[in-house]
Amino acid sequence: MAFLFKRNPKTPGDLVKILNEQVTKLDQSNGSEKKKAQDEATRHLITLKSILNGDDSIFGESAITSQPEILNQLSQEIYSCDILSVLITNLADIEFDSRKIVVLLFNSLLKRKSGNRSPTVDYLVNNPKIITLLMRGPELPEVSLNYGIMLREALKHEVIAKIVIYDPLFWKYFTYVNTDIFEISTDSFATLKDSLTIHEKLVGAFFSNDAIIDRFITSINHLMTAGNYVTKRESTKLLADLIMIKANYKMMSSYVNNVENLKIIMLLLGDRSKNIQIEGFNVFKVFVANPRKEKSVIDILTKNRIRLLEFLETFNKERNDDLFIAEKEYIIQQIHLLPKIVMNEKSGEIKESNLNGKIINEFD
Amino acid sequence: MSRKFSADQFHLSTELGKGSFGVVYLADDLITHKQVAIKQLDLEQTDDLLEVQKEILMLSTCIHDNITRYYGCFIKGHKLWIIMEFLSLGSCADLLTAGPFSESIISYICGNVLNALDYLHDSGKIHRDIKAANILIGSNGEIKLADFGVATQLSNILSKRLTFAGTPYWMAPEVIKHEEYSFKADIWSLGITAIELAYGRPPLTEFKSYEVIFEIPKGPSPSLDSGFSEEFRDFVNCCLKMDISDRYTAKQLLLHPFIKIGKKIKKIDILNLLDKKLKWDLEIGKKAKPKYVPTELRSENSNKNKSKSSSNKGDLLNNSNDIHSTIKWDLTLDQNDDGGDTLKNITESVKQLNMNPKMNIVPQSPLNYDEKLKDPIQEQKELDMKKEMIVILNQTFSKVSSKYNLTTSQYDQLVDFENQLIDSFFMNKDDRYRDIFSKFYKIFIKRVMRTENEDLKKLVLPKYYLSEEAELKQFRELTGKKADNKQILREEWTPEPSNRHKNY
Repeated sequence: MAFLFKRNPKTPGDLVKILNEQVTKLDQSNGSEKKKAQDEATRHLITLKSILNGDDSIFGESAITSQPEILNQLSQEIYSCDILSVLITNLADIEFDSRKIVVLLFNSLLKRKSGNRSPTVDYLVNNPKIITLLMRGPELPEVSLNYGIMLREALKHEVIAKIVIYDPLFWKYFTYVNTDIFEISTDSFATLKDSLTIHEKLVGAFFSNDAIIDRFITSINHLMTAGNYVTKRESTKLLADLIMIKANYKMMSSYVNNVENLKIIMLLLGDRSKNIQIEGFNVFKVFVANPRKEKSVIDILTKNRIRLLEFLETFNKERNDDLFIAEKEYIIQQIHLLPKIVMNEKSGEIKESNLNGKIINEFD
Repeated sequence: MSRKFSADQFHLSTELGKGSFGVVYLADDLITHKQVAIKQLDLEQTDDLLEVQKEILMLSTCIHDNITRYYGCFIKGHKLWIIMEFLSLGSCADLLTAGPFSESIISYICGNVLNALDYLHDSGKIHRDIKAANILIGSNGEIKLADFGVATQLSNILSKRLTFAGTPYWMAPEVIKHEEYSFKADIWSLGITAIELAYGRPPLTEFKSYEVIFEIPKGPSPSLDSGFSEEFRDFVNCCLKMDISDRYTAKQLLLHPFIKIGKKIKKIDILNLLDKKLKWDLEIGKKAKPKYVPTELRSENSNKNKSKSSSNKGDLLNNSNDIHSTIKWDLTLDQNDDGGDTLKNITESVKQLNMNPKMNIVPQSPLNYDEKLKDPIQEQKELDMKKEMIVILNQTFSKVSSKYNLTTSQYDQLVDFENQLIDSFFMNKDDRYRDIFSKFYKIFIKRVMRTENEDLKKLVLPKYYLSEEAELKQFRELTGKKADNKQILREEWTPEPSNRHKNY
């Protein structure tokens, strides 16, 4: 009579202990024993879910009535027995629908407040290996989406975002985004985007370092040129958003003062996809509006003056948004104001720039 | 999810359906040798990619016996291909064209759908688009919920511009009033779907879709007529409570006595539905769906079908090797030779990335199948009219036959008359005769309407027309006013997408 030996938890703390035992077994056992541990884990996770959903009849007579008190007891035990890292490490061995309960548990704990503090955030800061574990998600196809949801919930807290962006693993996300598996690619992108956009001050400080700026620019340029349609469109949008944030001034000015970046953006401006063109324009406008342009930037813009004007004339004409129209007008005006003469420093020749609409191209 | 999908792993054949979201094809998976359904979403039509990504995330975290399985997806050009389980009997809406379902079948379907809804609602998800067309049937009689997420979400995005994209007949009043979007909205839609399965169409179809959004919130809730069992009528009422808090949950409905009726349904009962449908298709002369035609042939027909082909735009992108260059910039730098090279490298690598052989799985419009002389649009229109008329005749017939106990001879005579009508309106080989008949029929009705002989009028025309001739006048004035409203609405709703197309 197997059921006689089944232990039913008496308190929330009890429940966490028993769950911990079962999940630890998952790691160490095989075959039927593993299956048994899996079923047990599922059973306890479903109980846990009911608690999280506010069903307090689980513990019967001895029940602690208030919901915060139950959560409080749960979390104490969770922190002290380190069950989060056990659950996350073994997530792939947990049954499919129960994995979502682990995510629910993790996210509920993060939302719990004790006064001004968030105990779970404090716990994670003291146990950064859990964050590192989650950051490896894209390498584990079976659970990468579950990991991604948890990581992004944690990222909402600045102290955790700081751990994430300064971790060497962070740069791997630019590679993860370029994977062939759509779900993993877009999930990694969502994480990348949240890490760089939610906490502006933190990211501004991150972008105060030249080496980091260079690395970021190389990485995002790669996504914008080598990615598939979605990667291209999303990464260009991310760049456009980032350079408009005041705190990222240093990164922005370093981006728009490099003519190589301008070339990439002009290619995007000419992309066949309307949406990519629009995102490209949102970066391009900063190159043009920049009051202290590098000479090489001016040269490329001047060389393409007529084509740019032609292009902008018809670009997104049906869009009725005042801000966009004003921006476009301004950019057109700025291009008109560019010098009409290109000086070739190498040979000392002076060339007149395409007054007839033809572009002078020495390499043709 | 660890499998990497790509277009060359699939052989597309028949078109299964079309919607605001794109096109669905039947395909052979060349790796697993299974049949799958492939949905192609045009991402260029979507303003917010994050929404699509969220929906994919939702799809990939749902595994349930009553939900069509999601296998994976990949990007091809600017289209997202979503690989889903294929269910060979089609949707309840397809089978419904051959006539309404019996109560026990409806109970069986509702029970299965409720299992799926219970699973979804339990994990905090809302389907948002329950209707017969989204309930699919497999060859073993299994019932599965489809089109969960993506399609709906997309039409929601579109609807920011169109206000209400798609058909609102299944929408809960609180959704229309933008009050609250809870999982109870799915329960309302299920109630409407139950009525749809019982009558062949949802309630309020006498209204246009932009009118129905005013009708639904007005109430009262639709209900079944007294011809149906007490259990069924109560079940529908429990789904269609105007007040959300009174409306039942999926869990509660699973315990409803009506659901028990369907428990004894067997595979054969479901297969009989297909049988009935096939016979019906034969009777009305509906042609089988076309097979996929390779791209080489397509170029000849492509102009002819331009208006219908959903993938023309896609070809531009897919077939183009120089995806980048709608405009040729001069990006050479005089004083910096390296610059030119770097750029060349970039463009080279980009080119290589996009050098894939031309996509030869460009789908074929089903209309190509039809006779050369016919305008495909007109053909489709006629098919739709024919379908609709058959549905109306079916409803009439089932109402009459359930109300009066028909003898065999009476039954046969009615069937003959129905066939005559369909033949004269749509099927007769003589085009001119069909036109003449339509004129004849209209003049006949008009004359009856004008006759002074009230008894004849009573015999031929519906009571509605007779008793409300006076009110009809008022009604006309009203619709005159309404027309203004419609005009305004239409102006607001004018979709922009047609402009968007021009830009490629």
